[in-house]
Amino acid sequence: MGGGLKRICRLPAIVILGLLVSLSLSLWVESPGGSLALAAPAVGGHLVVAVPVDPDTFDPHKAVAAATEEIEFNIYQGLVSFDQEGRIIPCLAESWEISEDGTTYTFRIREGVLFHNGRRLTAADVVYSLERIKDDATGFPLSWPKRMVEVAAPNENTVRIRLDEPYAPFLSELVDAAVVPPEAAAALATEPVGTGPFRMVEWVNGQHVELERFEEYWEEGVPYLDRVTFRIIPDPATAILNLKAGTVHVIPRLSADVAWDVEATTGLKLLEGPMNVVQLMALNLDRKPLSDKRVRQAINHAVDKDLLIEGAAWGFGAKLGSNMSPVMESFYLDLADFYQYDPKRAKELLAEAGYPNGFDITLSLPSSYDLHVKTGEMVAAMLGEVGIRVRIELVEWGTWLERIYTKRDYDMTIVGLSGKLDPHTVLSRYESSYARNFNNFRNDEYDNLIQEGLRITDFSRRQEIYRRCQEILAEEAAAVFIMDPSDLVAMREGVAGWRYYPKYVDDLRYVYFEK
Amino acid sequence: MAVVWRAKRLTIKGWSSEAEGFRQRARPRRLQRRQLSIWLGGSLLLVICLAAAASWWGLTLEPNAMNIRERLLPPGPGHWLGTDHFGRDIFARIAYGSRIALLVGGGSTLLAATLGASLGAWAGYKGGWWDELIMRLIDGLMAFPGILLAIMLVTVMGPGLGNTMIAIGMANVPVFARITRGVFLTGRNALYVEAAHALGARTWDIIRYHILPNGIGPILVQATVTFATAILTEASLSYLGLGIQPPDASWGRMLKEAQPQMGRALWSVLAPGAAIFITVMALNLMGDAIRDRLDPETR
Amino acid sequence: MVPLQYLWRRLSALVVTLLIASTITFVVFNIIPGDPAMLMLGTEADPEVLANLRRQLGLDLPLHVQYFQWLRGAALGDLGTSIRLGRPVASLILERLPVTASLAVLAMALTIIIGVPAGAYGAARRGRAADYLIAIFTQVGLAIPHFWLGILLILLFSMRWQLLPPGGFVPWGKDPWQAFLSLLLPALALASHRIAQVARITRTSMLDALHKDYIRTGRGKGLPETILLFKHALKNSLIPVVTVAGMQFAGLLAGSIVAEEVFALPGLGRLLLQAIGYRDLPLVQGISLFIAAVVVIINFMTDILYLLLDPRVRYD
Repeated sequence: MGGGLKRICRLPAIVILGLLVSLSLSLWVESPGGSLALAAPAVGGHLVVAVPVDPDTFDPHKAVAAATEEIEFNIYQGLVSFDQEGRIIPCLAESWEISEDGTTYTFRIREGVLFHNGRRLTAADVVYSLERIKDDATGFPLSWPKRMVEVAAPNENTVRIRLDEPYAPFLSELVDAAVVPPEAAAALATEPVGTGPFRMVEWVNGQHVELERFEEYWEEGVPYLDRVTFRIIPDPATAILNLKAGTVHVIPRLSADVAWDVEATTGLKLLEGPMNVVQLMALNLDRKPLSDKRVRQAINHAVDKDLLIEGAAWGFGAKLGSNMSPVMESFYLDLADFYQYDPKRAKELLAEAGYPNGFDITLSLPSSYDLHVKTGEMVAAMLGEVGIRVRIELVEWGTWLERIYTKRDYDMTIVGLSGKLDPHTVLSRYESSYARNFNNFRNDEYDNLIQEGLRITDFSRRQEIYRRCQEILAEEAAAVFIMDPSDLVAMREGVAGWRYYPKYVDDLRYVYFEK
Repeated sequence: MAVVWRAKRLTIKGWSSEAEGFRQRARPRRLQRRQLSIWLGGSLLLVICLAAAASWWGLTLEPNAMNIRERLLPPGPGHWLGTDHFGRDIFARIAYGSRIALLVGGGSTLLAATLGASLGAWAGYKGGWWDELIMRLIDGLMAFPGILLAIMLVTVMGPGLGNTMIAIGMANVPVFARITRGVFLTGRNALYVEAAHALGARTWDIIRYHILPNGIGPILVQATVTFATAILTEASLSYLGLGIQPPDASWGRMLKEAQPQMGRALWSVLAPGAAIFITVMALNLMGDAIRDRLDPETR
Repeated sequence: MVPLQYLWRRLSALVVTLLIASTITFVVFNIIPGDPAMLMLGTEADPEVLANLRRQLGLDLPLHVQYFQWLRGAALGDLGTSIRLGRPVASLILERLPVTASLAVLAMALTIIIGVPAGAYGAARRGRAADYLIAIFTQVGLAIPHFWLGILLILLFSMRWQLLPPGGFVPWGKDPWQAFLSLLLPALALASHRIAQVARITRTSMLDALHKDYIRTGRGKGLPETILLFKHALKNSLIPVVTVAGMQFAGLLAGSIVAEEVFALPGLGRLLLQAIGYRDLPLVQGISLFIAAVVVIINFMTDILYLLLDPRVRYD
């Protein structure tokens, strides 16, 4: 008995502690003058970060694996970047103007920025990079670059981009468009050259990636660290043993399964923040009986999300009610309790829909995602309680992408949709014409709202639109929106300055060793 | 050919977990040891079978019943082997896992023995062109270490109980094919078989009455060995996430799932590992005993 | 020594086996469902870009054309390009090989260093307590799943006593001693089964040798028992041990797939499992074929070694 109870009592304390830690961090961050009682960042040191997966390539225009992006963030930069709230901020572009009709963007390129090879950044490099992204032969995975009908550099410090039609999320897409020097482009896959705060020293496949501080980095005062090593340690328990031994200093995105070990060890600390991921059980709306809204609502009532968070994620997660994480503050609408856990109501709804004795259904789970598998096991048991007999089927990620995501051949599946910086990119996947609308969700009001949001730039109207979209998804029970799993970061005492972002990156600019 | 044959025999034995290729003289002490093997192996196997039966008849707790409030309980009166990360009863899951292990082990061994023996018999009896074709294929298959072949097949067919059984079975076909072929090759040319031929006996009768009886022994010994190896392979596959799928309990998967908690819930990694260990040891001991019994030199 | 004709026959058999193994590899992995192009580009990929990539990778060609292209490349040492990593499969294998090879060699060394003396000692003390103790350890070694043993070793040596690193690999070039330490536990776990096997064979084969005429003669002549045991009996009983040890290598390579997972080692096995998860067919095919080729070649060499070692063997 003891273990379970203790764990439950301890939980709020941890959450509060985590909040306090992140609060104090962000306080410090907002007053860089150092008037707070926190130690001033010390310059120097060699930080070792444990990451679970090997990067695939360092060519920023090809890489899609999140594992690669989290490292690349420190090497490459784009015209614009984002802050901790996900707002777009200047980066290689000092400032920009958007034309009245919303189709022409004019960027003023920052002066005095150097590439890692020592050459000065010019507007021509930006044009080259954007053209490279647009080129089919490069293999950039997303389709938005096709919207740029013209990219030009009227002078050395200006870049002008014309779009075929207004596209509100354009700036947030540009975040991923790294600027690279043409002379280094051929070898980027293994020898990255960017403008970021760190440059690569060595990459030993399967073992580690080593970065060193770029002395000519353009931002004043950062980074603090001399050297950073990303060690590839696939198993979280092994990573923790290394953390305890001091051979690793930080483990970002720690699996909740082993978080207890960090909490139980003195000299280690655990930060908790939102991940900006929507974990959901997608329902194939084209399949019977899921096409019946009452059945979907019944499923929603039958699932105890609080218990799922406790059981599958050891309590580390934020309950969701629609397809948006609370981290998207300005657009988020709290619908977490839209469907109360109510098995009795679920049974009534099933009976109403003509299934008083339940039905048989298959739940497909991507086997390489332990959290989704665990959640799925629990969901299956919960649905069993109201008479829905669930058969679990595990599929490899490759099969999942092809059969479930592309061909939409499934009943139900659990997956995590990684959040984006712009609400349009988050919510447009439920538009009926969207190529990857694997839920088969169709709703006229929803489609119209998404289209409207794309064309207008008025902030408060956009807020209204995307809040209504979330509401529609909840009302229609388009899926079972479960949780935003917490982003847990384990680190040794003495490491400070870690920042959370609504995107999957490890920002090492502000990290330092306390003296 | 004698040289090649000798080397091949070694290959077969080196492959299996039993590499005792060289006989020793009978000694009274050996007999005692054999008795010990039978008793120990037999009783351990009985325990595993009882656990499987208990699970089959529903005498344990429900192996998949979750109770998050009672997760990671240490062993105690309510839960003999404690509970896992979902609060499921580990004893019930171990018992269910023994069903899976025996089923996959037995099923794949049966498949491997039937298919392998048929292929080997065909090759050995027909000889010539057939022999060449089948044995080259078997050689090609043998180039893949057992678990690699099983991984390859499971990847193609997808995980799950049936596919795991088939994949492990297929991976073990070559051993049986070789043994049986050897028996038929020597049997075909043996004097008494030629005599039977001369007397006008039918092919099938010759195989049945004159060749097969000599083959049963080695095949049976190999079968116990394969049974044990198959259980180990299933556990490995499930450990890698390629074998038995949740919510079904399998020892390998239980081990994998328990690993993150091993620092605070030691019992949850000890129990499934010990179950695999005990079962494999029981089968090995039985295999030793059978071999001793069948070996004409020690009888 | 070995007649050329025999060697020739074995060599041609080797080539045929390799060819069949390569065919098996290709056939098996081309029935797999899953679109490698999609895996490369991820969930948001644009259909047009996808089609482009498929063409670029040759995934739109008929199967037999793909097979012959692959086979021709493989024969020349070119195993194609990894879809996910965009680099030559051969160089990826060579990059990971040192880890797996060191693991296998260290495990082999442990097998012989522990297995042979244990077996010989058991034979020498036949029927006494030591013999039984070794027999018990042998049974344990034969039955214990090596991934479980690995977990227990981590639990004891890394977590409780903190004597050895818990996993991960330190490159030899960086710090040879740390590299050795990081491989010690996985090698021990991997070797457990083989140590038991070798101990068993050594014991039986030595008991066998002890009953040979030359030993009896020696005993009759009054030679000390230790000399008889270790000089004469052990030497001759090592012949089968060596050959069996050669065959063990295949098992070691296979076992390392699982051991690398337990100990988080960046070897071939981990590369293979990752490649399977991502449907990186050229990489999966390349690794499978590579392992098969190593096994076939080592078996071949063991056969030859056996012939060289055993003076009694006739060639016909």
